[in-house]
Amino acid sequence: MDKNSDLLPGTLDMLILKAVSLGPLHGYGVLLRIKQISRDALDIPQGSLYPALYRLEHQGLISSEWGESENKRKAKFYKLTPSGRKRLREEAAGWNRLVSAIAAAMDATSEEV
Amino acid sequence: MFPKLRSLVNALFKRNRFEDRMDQEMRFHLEKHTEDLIRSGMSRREAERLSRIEFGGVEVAQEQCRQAKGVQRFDDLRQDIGYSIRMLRKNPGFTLVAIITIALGIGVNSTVFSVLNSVILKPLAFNEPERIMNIGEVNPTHGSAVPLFSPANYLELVKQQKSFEAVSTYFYLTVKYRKTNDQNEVWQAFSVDGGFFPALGVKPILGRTFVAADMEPNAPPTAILSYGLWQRKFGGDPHIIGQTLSLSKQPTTVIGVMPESFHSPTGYDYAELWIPLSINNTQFQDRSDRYTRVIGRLKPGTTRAQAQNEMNVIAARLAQDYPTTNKGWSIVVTDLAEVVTGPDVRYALLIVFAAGCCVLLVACANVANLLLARASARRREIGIRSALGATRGRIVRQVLTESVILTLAGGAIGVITTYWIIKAVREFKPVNLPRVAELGIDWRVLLFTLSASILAGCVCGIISGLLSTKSDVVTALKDGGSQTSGGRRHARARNFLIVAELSLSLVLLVCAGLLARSFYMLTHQDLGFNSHNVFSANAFPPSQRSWSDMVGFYDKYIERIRQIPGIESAALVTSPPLVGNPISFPFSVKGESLDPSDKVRTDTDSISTDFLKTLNIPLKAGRDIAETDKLNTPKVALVNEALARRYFGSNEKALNREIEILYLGTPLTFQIVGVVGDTKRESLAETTPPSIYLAESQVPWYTASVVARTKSDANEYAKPIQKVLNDLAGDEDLYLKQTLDEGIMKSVAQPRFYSILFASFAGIAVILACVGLYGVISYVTAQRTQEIGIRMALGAQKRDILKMVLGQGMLLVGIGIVIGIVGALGATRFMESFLYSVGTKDLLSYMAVSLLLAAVALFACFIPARRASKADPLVALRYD
Repeated sequence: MDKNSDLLPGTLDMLILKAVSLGPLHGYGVLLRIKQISRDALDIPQGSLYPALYRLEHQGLISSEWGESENKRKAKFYKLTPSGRKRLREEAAGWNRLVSAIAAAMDATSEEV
Repeated sequence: MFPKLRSLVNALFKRNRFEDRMDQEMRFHLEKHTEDLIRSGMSRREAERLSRIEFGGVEVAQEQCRQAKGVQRFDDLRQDIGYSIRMLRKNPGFTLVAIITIALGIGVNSTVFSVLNSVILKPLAFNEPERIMNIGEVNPTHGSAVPLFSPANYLELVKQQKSFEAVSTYFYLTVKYRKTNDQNEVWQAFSVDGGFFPALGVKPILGRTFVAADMEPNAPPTAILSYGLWQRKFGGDPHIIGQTLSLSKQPTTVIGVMPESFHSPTGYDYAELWIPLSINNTQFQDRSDRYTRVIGRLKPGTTRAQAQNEMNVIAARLAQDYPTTNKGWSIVVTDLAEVVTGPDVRYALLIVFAAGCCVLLVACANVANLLLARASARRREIGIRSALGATRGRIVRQVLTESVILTLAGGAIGVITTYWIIKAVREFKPVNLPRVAELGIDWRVLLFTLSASILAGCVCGIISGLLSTKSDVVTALKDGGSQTSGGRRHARARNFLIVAELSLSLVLLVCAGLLARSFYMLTHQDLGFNSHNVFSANAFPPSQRSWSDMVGFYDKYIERIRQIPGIESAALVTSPPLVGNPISFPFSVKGESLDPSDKVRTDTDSISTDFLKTLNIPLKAGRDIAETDKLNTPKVALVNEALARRYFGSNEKALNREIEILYLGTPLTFQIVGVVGDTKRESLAETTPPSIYLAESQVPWYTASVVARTKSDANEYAKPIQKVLNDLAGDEDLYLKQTLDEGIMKSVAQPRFYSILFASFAGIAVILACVGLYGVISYVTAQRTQEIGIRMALGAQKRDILKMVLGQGMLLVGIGIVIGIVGALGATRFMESFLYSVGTKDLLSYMAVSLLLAAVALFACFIPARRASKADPLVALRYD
């Protein structure tokens, strides 16, 4: 496993929301999608994926329904709800603020102080 | 909030689907992953292995999923409940004993609470009951439980008051209903004035209530029926309005039916119908006698204090206008609810409730004890569960669940018992308990029982749970655990509980003992007359005409009764001692002005000849009433010793003195011709008040009771006396037919009720405590089997073993009794008002109940002790 794949705490929910915002996905698909959109940099610990999905569904941020997978098998698909979309926007904004703040901090040179 | 709830509800109620789908989803995941891995060139076996490793523990993930949905907590609870029920079913003996114990405790409590609820807590069943007041006259020396009005003063109140929307008075009476060709039936009624229904604010369910026209003296007679009477007699006939009934020989039109919830504002007399009361009635001329109850509904926005202020003004005006009858009297306004219940009843019920709580506490201690005993037996099991990772909290929760299940089951049985007891109480109609008709189980009672059950369960569970989980895993697993220090700690805890139970029971026993002794004192005292084999019944002359008509009727009446075979002697009296309602008139010694502050109740009776002889009342000085005392001869009076002593100094000094009585407003003069012995008058607990006996033949009262000393069973004489009355007066009925002994027992119904109540409570507590004691001693003895075996092997005799075990048990009993006595000395202070000629520290009662408890406890210890002493040393040594 890539040693850079460790997730920052609290980011799993946001990543799941992002993943399903791009289209309905089943659990395994969420895993693959996150891998894909992070260009293989992030690897979700599979054991915590489902509790997170259940938690988000419980909070009403995603909803689920049973459908058919690519190869005609029954699977549970998750999609974003309106409140999930709102939450995703907030979290993304918060994340961007944090990242740019940290980036600015890390870019600081001695002259700027 | 909403989606969360929905998702939890879905998860809970579609539980199997939830689990299936979760399985399916994760399986799908694993399969997909495996396929991908195979596609990337892995062997199927390797791929399956790797996908499983990467996923991690499926169980753990599922558990976390359940938690995420909030299902977890319910799962635990369900698991605990399932487990508890399995454990309880595995030990049916234990379960049964525990449930019965709690059912007793809860049953007692919810019964007492439901009485408390209907008598005190429930608002009166009238419209806006907080605005309804009782209004009455009081005088510092005339104690009456309920302030009453004299009829004439009531009329002044009606005229002058401005605080009340409506004021009303009402009289109790009986009416005779005659169905064609049927026998007479006597109904209880209230005659009520126009303010009655407006004051209570209750609308009829059929027809109307009285209007002013119904109150006119010559108005056609009308009546309003109670719901009960309407159902019982007329089958709920919806066309009853306008029908005519024959009531006391008058054709009376039914104009309304009241709702089922409508009860009498007195709380006691349950009127079956209401008839109009005209205030032009001659009765309303009496100003000196306060005997009528008055209620009023405050105007909106008027406070009780404002009404009270107005009443003060009216009382002052009355005192000025009618000083002879109204000086020293004030008018008080009280909440009707307060008057209906009365401070005595309130206090008594609270005491009974406290006693009931003691019983519940004993029951709880007992169940905690049982749980502890079982916890000892289950130490191994608990140890195993701890070793498997159950936290202490989880184990305490398990024990708690178990005990709450037990107490809820007990509570359920308790409520069912309560239902039956209450039904019985309602039928039995205890005297002196107001609002009995409203008694029932409502949401308050159910809520109380539920909370009491859960609370009891928590108390039991926490005590035993905390004590039983303190063991460390290793010792618990290593052996049965009974010989370890944990076992000893249990024993200490159980001893503590037993001592607590015993002392609480003793407190209850002392209360019961004091009440029983007080009841004995009350009923085994010198009454001043002989009440055995005396029949008494009340009758009215056919109509109230002149005094000479009444005297003529009474003379014939008593003469005919005396001729009935089997009657040794018979006499007439206004109110027979202890069964009637004594009448009192203002009285003074002729020539001395009456000190208005010295107004002791003076009972006045009109008696016929032979009254003293019939009741065996001794004549102490002078002569009895004689045939020669006639309407036209000088009026004579007998007085009792209490009066002679109080007003004249001695019996002899009273003779031939004159007294003046304000007889229904008319001053009459009597000469004292004799002094008789004191008798109890109104209640067994009173000191005899000064009493005056007038001659029926000179001042007849408008009703008289016959008292007849009989040779055989006194009750057999109701029929022949009724026949005499019918012969002389036609359709009249005898009222209050009873023997004096029966009547006296009725007069002590209340103290008897409390004695029996406390005796039952104490009995239950003692039995529970002794069952607990038995359990503890059996358990301890069983634990010491090996030790006992060794002792016996070393030469101890059976007697020594018996003594040892008994000694251990009786030590607990001794400590319990000592603590109980100390507790009782404190607790019985609240019992003082219930006791008659017995102090709260009555040595005899304390000793008797302590001995009783010790004896029962000794028996409880004796059984296990004997079992231990009979053990075969060889078997005992090999035990466990």
